[in-house]
Amino acid sequence: MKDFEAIKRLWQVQPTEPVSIEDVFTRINEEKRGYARKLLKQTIIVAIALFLIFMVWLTATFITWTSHLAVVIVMGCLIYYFCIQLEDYLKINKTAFIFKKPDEYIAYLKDYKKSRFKLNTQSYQIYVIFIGIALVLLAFEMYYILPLSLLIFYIVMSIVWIFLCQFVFMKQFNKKEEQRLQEIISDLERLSQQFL
Amino acid sequence: MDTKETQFKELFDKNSKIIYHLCYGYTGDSDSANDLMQETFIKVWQNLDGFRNQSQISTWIYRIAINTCLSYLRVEKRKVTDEISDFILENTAEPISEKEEQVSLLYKCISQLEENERIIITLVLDEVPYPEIAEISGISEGNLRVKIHRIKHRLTDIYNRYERL
Repeated sequence: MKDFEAIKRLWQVQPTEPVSIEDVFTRINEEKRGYARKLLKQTIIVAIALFLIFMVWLTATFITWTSHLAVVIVMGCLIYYFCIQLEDYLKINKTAFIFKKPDEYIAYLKDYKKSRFKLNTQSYQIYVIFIGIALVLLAFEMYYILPLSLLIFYIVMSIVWIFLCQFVFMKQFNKKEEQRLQEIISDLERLSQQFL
Repeated sequence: MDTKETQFKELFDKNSKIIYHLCYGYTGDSDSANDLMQETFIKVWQNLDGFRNQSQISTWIYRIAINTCLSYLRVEKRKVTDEISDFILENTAEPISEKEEQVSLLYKCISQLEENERIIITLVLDEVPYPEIAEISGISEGNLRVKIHRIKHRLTDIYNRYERL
C-alpha cells in the first residue's frame, strides 16, 4: 500500500530522458524549411498549370468567345484553389490562441474546425459549379468544330463528369468531412467539460 | 550565442523535465511525449519575442504545453487506453528495475484519469504551486483544491489496486 506522498517520491526519482535542446533547434530549422518547401511546391505546380493553360489559350484559335471565358474560369478556379490552400496554411501556423486558457483554446479549436468544414465543402461546391460552367461554355466551340458523334460524346462525358462530381464525389467528401468534424467536436466538448 | 538563444536555453533547462512529465502523463508514451515537448518548445521559440511578462514565463510555457497536448489528441485521435499502457509495460526491450517498473505502473494509472486530471496531477507531482496550476488550467483555486484532493485519492486507489495484482 502506498500513500500519495510515496507516489510523489517515486515520481521524483523517475529517470527521464527528454530530447536535447539541439534536437529542438534541428526541428525548428526543419519546420522552417518544410514550410518554405511546401509553399514553393504549391506555387510551382499552380504556376506550371497556369502557364500551360495560358499557352493553350494563346496558341488555340477559338471560334467563339465562350471558349475564352471557359479558359478564364478554369484559370480563376486554379488561382482560387491556390489562395485557399495558402490561407489555410497560414491559419494553421497562427499561434496566438496557443496562450489562451484551455477552455478558450478548446472553443477556438471548435470554431476553427467548423469554419474549415464550411470552407472545405463550400470551396468544393464552387469548384464543381465553375468547372461545370466552363464545360458548358466549351460545348459551344465543340458544336462548331466537332462532328456530331464526337459532340454528343463530349456532352455526355461532361454531364457524367458533373453528375459524378455533384452526386458521388461531393457526397462522399461531405459525408467524410462531416463525420470527422462530429468526432472532433464531441472530443472537444468532452474536454471542455473537464475545464469548467 | 545571441540573447534569445541564451534565454531559450535557460528556459529549456529549467522547464523541459516538467513539460516532458506533463506530456508523458497525458499521452502515456515517451515517444509522443518527446514529440509534444519539442512542439511546445518550438512554439515557445517562435513566440519568445512576444512574451510580455503578463504572467510568469513558466505559466506561459505550461499553458502552451497543455494546449499542444489538447490539440495533439484531437488530431491524432490517440486516446490513452489500457492497451497503450500495457504495451509500454510489456514491450520494454531491456530488463527494467523495480523502480522503473513502478514508474511505468504509475504512468499507467495516470492514463486511467481524465485528460484534465492527468494534467493537474503531473503538475502537482512536480510540485508546481497551486496558484500557478490554477492560472495555467484556468480553474479557480478553490475548485482546483477540491479537484486535486479527489485526483490524489483516485490515483492512490488505482495505483494500489494495480500493485496488488
